[in-house]
Amino acid sequence: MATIGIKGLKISAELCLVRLRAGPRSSGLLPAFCSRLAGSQINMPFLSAESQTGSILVSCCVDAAQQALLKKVLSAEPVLQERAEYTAGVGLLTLFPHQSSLGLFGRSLRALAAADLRVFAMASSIGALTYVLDYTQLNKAAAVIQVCFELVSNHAPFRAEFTVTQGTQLRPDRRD
Amino acid sequence: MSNDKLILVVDDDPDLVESVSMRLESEGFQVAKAYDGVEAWDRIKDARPQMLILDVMMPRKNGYELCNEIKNDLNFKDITVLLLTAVADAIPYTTYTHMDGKTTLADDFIPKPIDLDNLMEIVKDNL
Repeated sequence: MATIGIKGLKISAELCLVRLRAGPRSSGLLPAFCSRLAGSQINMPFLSAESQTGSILVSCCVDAAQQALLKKVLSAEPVLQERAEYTAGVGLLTLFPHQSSLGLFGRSLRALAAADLRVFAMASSIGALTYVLDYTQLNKAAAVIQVCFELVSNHAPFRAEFTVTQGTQLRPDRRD
Repeated sequence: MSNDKLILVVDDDPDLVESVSMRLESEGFQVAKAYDGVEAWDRIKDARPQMLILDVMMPRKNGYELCNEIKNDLNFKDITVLLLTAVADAIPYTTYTHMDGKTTLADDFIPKPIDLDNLMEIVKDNL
């Protein structure tokens, strides 16, 4: 089997996954959800939305520390609260670059399945392929991926070293 | 339009690297990519770009460190460095707020989130 090279693997901090399912006439669900999170300044490291036979499934991850806030925010909107399912203790494994490679997708998905690693959600983007996995299994998943892909020599899987949060308070040196 | 200028885009967010690279390539620039400060140093030595678009917050070696190393190296100090910084006015508490970006030796700054039209203006102004 030909080797596929990748430039990097990125491992996220611990996150909480929330999934919302809705029927065909729920086109306002995603805007309402995003609006609620934006209003509460909750960052979304992962967001995907899929539509199958008219129904909608939204998958979103937020920082684990914001799980309680997320539940509180969604509980204020009955249509969101009744559809939300939470899974704590997940994390993201991101492979890049993706560049629409079906080989990269197929091989990585097969490797994760062969290692009995549950995939809660996945999404491809312009530059990356991201899997939502059990947070405690991320190192194992990264090891599995490195067996079937060639990672460039000067790169190692890296974890997020910082979290940028939103706020309205100005830095002391920028206040008027 | 073609351009023989090589620009190295460095960020640990692969989507940002890809979208900025696509815009630069559409304007005729040659583009190289790196995903952290250590990898970027290797690419600089290999390819000697005319410009760096460099994120601040990256693993292994952050943008401030890399910028200052470049600007203190006689062989590479002429490379134009544009720092991408999300440490904006409304983000007061990050690892890097102890060090204001303006004390670095960067040639210019591009605020995050990036406006690609603004980025192109800054790139062209600095080449």
